Amino acid sequence: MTDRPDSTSLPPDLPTETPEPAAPGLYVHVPFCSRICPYCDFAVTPLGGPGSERLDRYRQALLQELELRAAALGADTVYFGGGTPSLAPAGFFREVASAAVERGLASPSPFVFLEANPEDLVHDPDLARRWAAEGVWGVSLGVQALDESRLRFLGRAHNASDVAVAVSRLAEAGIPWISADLIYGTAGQTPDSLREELVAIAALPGVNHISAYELSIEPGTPFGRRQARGETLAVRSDHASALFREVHETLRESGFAAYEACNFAAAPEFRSRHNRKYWSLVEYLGVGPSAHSFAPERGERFWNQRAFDDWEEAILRGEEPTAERETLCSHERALEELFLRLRTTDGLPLGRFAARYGEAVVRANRRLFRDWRDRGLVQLRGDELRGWLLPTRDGLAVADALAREVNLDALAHDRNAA
Amino acid sequence: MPRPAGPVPIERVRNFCIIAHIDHGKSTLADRLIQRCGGVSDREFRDQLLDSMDLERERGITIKSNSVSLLHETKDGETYQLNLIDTPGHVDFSHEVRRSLMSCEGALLLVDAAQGVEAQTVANHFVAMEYDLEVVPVINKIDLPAADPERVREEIDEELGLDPFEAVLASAKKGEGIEEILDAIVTRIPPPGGDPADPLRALIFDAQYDTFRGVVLLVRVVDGAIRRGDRVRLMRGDTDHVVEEVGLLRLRREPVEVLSAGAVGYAICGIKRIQDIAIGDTVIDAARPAQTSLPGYREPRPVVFSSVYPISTDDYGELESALGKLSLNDPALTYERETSTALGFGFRCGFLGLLHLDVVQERLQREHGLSLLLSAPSVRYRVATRDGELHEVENPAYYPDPAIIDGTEEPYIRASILIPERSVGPVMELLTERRLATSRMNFLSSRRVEIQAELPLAEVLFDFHDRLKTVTHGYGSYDYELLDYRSTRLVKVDILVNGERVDALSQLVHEEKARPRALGYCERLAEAIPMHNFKIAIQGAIGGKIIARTNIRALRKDVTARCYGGDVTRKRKLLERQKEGKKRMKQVGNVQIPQSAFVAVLKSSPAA
Repeated sequence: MTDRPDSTSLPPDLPTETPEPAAPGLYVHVPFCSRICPYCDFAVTPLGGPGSERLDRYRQALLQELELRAAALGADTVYFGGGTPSLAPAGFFREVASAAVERGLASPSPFVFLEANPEDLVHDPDLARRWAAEGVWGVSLGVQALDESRLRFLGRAHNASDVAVAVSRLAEAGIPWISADLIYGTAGQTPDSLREELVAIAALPGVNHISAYELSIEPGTPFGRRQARGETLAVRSDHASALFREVHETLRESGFAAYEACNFAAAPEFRSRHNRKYWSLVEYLGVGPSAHSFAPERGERFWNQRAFDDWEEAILRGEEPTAERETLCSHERALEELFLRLRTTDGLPLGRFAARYGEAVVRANRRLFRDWRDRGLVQLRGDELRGWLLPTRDGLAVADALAREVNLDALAHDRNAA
Repeated sequence: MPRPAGPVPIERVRNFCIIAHIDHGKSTLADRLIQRCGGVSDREFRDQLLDSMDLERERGITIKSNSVSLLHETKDGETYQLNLIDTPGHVDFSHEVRRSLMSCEGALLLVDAAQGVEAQTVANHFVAMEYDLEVVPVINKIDLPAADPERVREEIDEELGLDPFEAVLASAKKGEGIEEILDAIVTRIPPPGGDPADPLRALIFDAQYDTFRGVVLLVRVVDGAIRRGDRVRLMRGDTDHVVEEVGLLRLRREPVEVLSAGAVGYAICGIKRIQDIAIGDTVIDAARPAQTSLPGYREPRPVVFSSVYPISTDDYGELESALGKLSLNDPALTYERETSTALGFGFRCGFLGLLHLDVVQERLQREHGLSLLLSAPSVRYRVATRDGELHEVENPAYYPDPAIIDGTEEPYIRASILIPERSVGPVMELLTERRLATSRMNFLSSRRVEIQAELPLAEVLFDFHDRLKTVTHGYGSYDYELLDYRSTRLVKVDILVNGERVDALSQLVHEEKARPRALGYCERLAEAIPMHNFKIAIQGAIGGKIIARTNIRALRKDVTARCYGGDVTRKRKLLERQKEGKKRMKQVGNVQIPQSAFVAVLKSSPAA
């Protein structure tokens, strides 16, 4: 059995307004930032400026990794995340995307996405046009906040007017997909002030996608250390629930529909073509330091060396820079399907779940699913055993709790992934 | 190492102990004295101690006593035998302290050069005076940057009435002043008295257990003599035994022919079980029995109680055997089986006081590797019921129906609280909050005040020590002794989660304290119970009457941020751990309460 959704087996009343992505994705990690945000725990290092020696070493090694990993993957999305991909020199995105196509990793003319900091677009008025010319299809803008004090708190280098300028330059350059990323839940934030920020972001002409993530304090970051010393940096859990509701309500009123717990699109075609692959367990390959990959046919996840030097060293030795790999047992695989799919409004197709993990698992949880429905957390569409579980807004808010509640005892912790 | 040709004559024997407030450096000083007199290097010393610790581990029983015989050669070439007798360092063990002091002629009174005289120092000093001991003040830790020996001298003068110029300045840590201390022991502490020709009377001040030899009695011979082959009797136990071996407590046991009046040493008499002896009992000659026992024995009686549960129910057997082992050497520790619907199987334990509770908890956790949950400590109440019966109740589970209760009494203490003068206001406020009955103030010096306060024991069981330290900016200390039982108005407060009583959280409290205590529990519990998909009411109740309430709203957000760059593994592992933790949750009605919630609610620091 493969993981590719088989469209013929889907029930006729499939609730998704856009079909689930089918083609694999390619993720490219760009591990550089001009400064490190105090909440960030991703694999990044500060960079003196574009064109530095390290950036060039990175480009070389990255192209070699694509060669080492050459395979008939045929990804239709190439997503540059980071880090700060907007720091990359001219021609970088085209060069990497072309190399990926050449190695069979991407299909011809893939959708190219990148993450960008607003200030980079302000400082270089030609940047957006250059990206468009390189074939960039979508830009995910690290707005994080519009409120000045929140921007300073989050250690960001831009201000609210930079965001407006950046969005307008992207729109003028003809970039079809513009996403604004937001962080909420910083200490002291009220539903009212959050609403103001959301309304302003949604009103920016050209923005057709919004991601809104709650601030999470990770150990090992400057915020983590400050919190350990007793500082309050994030809102309390009950307040975070109120903010979550505010995000969903305000964005719905502003014309952005939730399709995942933290992601909103102005129209179905603006749902993230790349990120949806993570939630629907489609195959993806990650290249660059710390990048993660998923090979569903082998039931395998693997990830790259996190430190730049380790990653580069492996490549220079002519080896794939994989740090670790794991083969999922059916229990693990099922848990992943649950918590990933229950984050999305596409929900969980019970028939497919039963086909993969056995009908006993679905039967064992029938009462639980009904209970969720009665509590307004999901809609049960179609047959109890073969239909769909569709999370409501309240269900999305507690998706992790739902996944934890499902009884998977029928599944062995074996190592033979489905 | 000095070696006398034969036994040291009694006029060159000194029996002494070290009395000190906790943390004033008693163990370090003892180690230094042992090292100096043993003539061993640091390294040998450490190795030797480690050896004996390994031995302890093999036996599974910890030998606590640090009593030891030291040989000290003075400058004029005479060899003295200095018997250091160990004392427990806290009020909970006041009776043990007394027993140790009874075995000595003198005491080193250790005072921290930075902390100064504390309430416990005063209390210990009074006991030493009661037994007519020669007290040698030692100002320790003079190497600390905050050391202020001159101020401490003043305190020794004004608060203890000792000659401040007789105080020895020392840093046990750096080995400074050790010679001076040894000289003071020899010159100022008198040799023991007693007539070796009298009928034998020896006080058992401690005991150890040896897998091969059985019980090892640590004794101070007061009258007469004890030697190998003697037939002796334990007065209280009224059992006769033949002495197999007597000797001195060197770093290892060193057999001698005889222990005569004034001597401190050990005796092995073929006793197999430590339960068969009583610390404080008197050893007499079976053939020529002395008529009166030495004052030393008192039935240990627990005054503080707490339910002890293993965090993991699998550890119940382990906990039971650990308690069994600890109680072998600690007759004051009592325990009996108990069941809680929320926490499973555990034990209701009795302790001499809060410190004793802490020590036992620490040993269970550290030496036996157990993770434990302890219920709020309680005292033992006396409850008179209408049928004319008197019940002793220390467990909320056995509290009688209030309808049949005639009257209730609770134990009171006299606390001696030493504080800077400027803290009198806040401390009196704290005491009033703690249901102060009466108080008296003694101005010890221009800066320091002693408050003698009578208040319920139950009131010092909850963070009294911490609060006292806070309101006195770290300068306050206290000590207490039990007084008597007095009439009280007691209620049983239950905590309800969606209407279901959580038995482990029930407690007996004074009427006045019921509401704030209940609210505190409700709030801490509300913060610690994870989201459920329905509203949860947490209530405090007395019988059917609700006195406090908090709610946990349904639908607390429970979806983590992104799986960034496709890192699904980390998130799945987190969920797996949480899912695993969920299996260990306690189900109360329709609500699942994690162990961590009980820990959060019950953790109110019981340190005294």
